Amino acid sequence: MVKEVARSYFTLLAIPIVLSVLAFIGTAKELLIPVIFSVLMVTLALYTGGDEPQVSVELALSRDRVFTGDEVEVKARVRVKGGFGLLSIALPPASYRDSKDYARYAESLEVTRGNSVHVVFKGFRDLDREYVVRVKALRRGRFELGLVKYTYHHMFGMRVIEDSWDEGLRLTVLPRYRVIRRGVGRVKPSLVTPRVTPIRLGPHSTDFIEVREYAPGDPFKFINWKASARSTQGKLLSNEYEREGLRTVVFLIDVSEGMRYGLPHENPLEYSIYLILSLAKALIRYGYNIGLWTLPNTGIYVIPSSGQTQFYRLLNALLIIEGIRESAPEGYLDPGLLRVIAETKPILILLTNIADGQSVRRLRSYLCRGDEGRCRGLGRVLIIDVTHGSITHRELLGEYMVTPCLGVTPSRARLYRALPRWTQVVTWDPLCEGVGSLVARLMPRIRWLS
Amino acid sequence: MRVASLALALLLPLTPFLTLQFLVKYPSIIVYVGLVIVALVGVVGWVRGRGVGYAGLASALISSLLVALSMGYIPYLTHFTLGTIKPSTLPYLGVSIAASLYAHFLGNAYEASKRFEAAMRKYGHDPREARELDAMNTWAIAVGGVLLAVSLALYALMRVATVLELPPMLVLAVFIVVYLALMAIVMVHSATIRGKA
Repeated sequence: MVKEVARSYFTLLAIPIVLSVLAFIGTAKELLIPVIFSVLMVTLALYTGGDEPQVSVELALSRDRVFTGDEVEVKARVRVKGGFGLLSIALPPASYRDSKDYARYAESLEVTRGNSVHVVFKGFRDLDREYVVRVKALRRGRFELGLVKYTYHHMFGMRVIEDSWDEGLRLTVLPRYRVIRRGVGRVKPSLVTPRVTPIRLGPHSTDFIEVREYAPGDPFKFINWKASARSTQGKLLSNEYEREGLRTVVFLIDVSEGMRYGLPHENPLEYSIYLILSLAKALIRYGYNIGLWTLPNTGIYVIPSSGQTQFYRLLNALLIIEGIRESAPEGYLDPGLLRVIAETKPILILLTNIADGQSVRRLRSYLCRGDEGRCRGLGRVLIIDVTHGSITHRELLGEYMVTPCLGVTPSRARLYRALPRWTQVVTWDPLCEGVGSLVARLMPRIRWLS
Repeated sequence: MRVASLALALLLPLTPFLTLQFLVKYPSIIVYVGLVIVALVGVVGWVRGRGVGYAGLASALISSLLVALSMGYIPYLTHFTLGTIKPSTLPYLGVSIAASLYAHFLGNAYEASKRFEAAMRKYGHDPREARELDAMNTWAIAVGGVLLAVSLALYALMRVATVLELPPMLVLAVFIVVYLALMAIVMVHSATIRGKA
């Protein structure tokens, strides 16, 4: 582009001189007309080309926190002073087109009204325009929505300016969840746990038990720095406190490629998040401790605890979970998770999509903790198989599909038989069954596992 | 207005040759060769999507060269002339050469708007915003037209006003020297301008 600008610049400067020389050689006074014309053009080009446009864009979001499916308005007021030429202005989300994260923007945000890219001609007068872009949030996540980009092309090609800046706006798209108030059956655990006796099921109390070696997953605030400094072996030591409360439920969410079958905003992973939040909301009401880990381990986890704050911790963690495309090392579980399992004997609820034999093999590698050929389980695991069949069929057939619900295919039942005996599988086709009905089906099983 | 820009960018470069053909005693073969060259440059530029403006530039340079080969120092020194140009037709020729430069300017504006149109399609702009490109072309036609009129007026003023008793050729020589000096100054600053581009 710079080369092009330089070429038009030199052409513009050279025209009057070449014509003047020819007029001089030809001694034709009348050739002064094109000479004067070209000089006037050069003067105008230099005058307007030296005038750099001052572009200011005021951005505003109608809301900065929305749920999936909601719409948000991006208002932009564009003011331009100076300059003479065309301006191309890119507002969010189009302004992120060149960023490496654009695929996430494209599949998560849909422009439903207006346009986020605009072209305006800036004449001699100052420019003041207002644009409104309506964006529909299709998928959960945190999105930067403050980037503004513009490109200015001078009318005579004297200058091309590209600039961008960030207004610092952010949009948080929360996943939807359902508050289930009644009709979910009896969910209180059968195991009655006295609140004063030292048990290893609930959150930590303030009653000190002992000092022991630090293990991954221990809260940092429990590290006993003085005892660690005194340790002759130089080990890190932490305090252990009594635990109290009800049973712990740990959600294990599969984030492998099979969970992304379907549409970017409608796939087993998204439905699993919807289910986890709805189920967690119900369980927290009954005082359960709720925790979360991903399979394979992505470093995103929530240490089990109870209360409304824990629900928001869970929500924040689920906000940033993404499907993994590349193959991660299988069979590896976070040491923190293994410690929580060993200490609190939680109810493990694994959400996955058992699409093929490969999925079963992968699940076994996570759940079986034995030597070669032996399968010693982590504990009793409730597997929720979120099927993608109906979603992909609806995507492919669209309006031609008479019924959107396909149900469970017999091939899946065969795959379930290959899973360890100490697992229970509940199949869920999100297009056939609502989350309320599924939670009602799950609660007796959770109680059985308690 | 983009169509108007294109039409003017393709047709105005032909006017100097039409003037040479119909108002001046000039060998037809030379005029036709020039006409064909300019028309080809314009059409090829239009088809390729870049270079429409070069038709105007080519027309202005070729026709100025033809004038220089028919009168002035070259025929005087070489005793050879390509054709005869009557002084009464020279103003028409001057205006038509200026119109060719105007066509060069319009061709560039048309190409810029075509490039923007392609980018608009690629990035999913609102098709209604194509009117901004039309606005640019309208401005290009208007500004060019005004500049053409002003240059004609200035020329007429120079012819009529006899405040300074200076021969026009001396004025032109002085202009060349002054312009070259100004161009050198601007060139020094061009690095800054290109640096910002």
